[in-house]
Amino acid sequence: MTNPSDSDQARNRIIRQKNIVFAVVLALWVVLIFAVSIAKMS
Amino acid sequence: MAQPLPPLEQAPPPSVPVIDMPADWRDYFALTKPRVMSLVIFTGLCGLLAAPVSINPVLGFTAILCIAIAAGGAAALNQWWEADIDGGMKRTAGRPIPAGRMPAANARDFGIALSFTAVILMGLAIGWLTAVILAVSILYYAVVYTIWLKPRTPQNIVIGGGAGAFPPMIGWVAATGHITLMPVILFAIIFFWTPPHFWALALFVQTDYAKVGIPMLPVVAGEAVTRRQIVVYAVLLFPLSLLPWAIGATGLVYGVGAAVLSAIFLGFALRVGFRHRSGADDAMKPEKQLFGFSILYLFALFGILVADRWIGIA
Repeated sequence: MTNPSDSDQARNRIIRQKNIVFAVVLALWVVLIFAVSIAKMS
Repeated sequence: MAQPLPPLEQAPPPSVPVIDMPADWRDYFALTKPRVMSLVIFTGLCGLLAAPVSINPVLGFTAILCIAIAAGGAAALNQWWEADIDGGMKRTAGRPIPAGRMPAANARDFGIALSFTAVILMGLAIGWLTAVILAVSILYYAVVYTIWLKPRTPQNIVIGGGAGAFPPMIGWVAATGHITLMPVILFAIIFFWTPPHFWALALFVQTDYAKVGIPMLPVVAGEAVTRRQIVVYAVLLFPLSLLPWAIGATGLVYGVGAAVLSAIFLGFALRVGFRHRSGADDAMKPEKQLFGFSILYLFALFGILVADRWIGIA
């Protein structure tokens, strides 16, 4: 049987990983928009 | 204290998986069908690189990224709509929704978000003609193919193949800013390549398609008709693949490469076209070989297209 605390840990780990991936994607998005703006101006 | 059991009428039906964990980021990534996306990215990139004008590398990268995001969005929408069907087939039962790792609505919202992001970014960064073609390609795959044709007609693959044929055209238009004959030919090559590619697959997984009621050609019209149709499309593909060279848009490198590749493709198709299943335990080796070579064929053909252009410049 799964221990409830194991289940909570797994849930928190999934949410933490998803937040990290989302933050990285957002950061790359900002860099991309910045790069596209410069490329469009040149 | 033990929780009381819910009344019977409130219990979810057995076909709806109970989700007690949030979906992992890998599940969202899986929704985008990364393996299919690799072919989409490759053909889109080839369309962009084979175009007779060069594009700013940042904008070129953005155009390919938009094609990839759009393909991912369309794939997520496809999996949202087909969750029930996927659950009934061995090949697709492990996908996030049928496996019970994600609610279907999350896939739908993710697909819509990706699709809008791709189209808006393409319009702002590259141009609105390219963005419109990208939007049409998403709607073509998610609505025309997935929702409309696939469950209704055994010709679903033929017309639905148009969805996969858009990337090189989008890549070309992103670079040049307008539609000419060449991107239309690139579109047609993938359009005519798709039926033999998918019907070869359908021949050796047809029991799965029959089980979930998808009217794939082998299920509805039988194997003999499917094998004949594979040959017809492979024969049509041969001259079509040579058309870029015939109209003078490419050089001899492409012409010879396309002729050799298409001849081999036709050879595999003829083997499939003129054989009969030996029995229930037939390993379907020629069909699997045709399916495998069809993927290699497309990668190689578009690779040669780009090589020809860059050799021409050098």
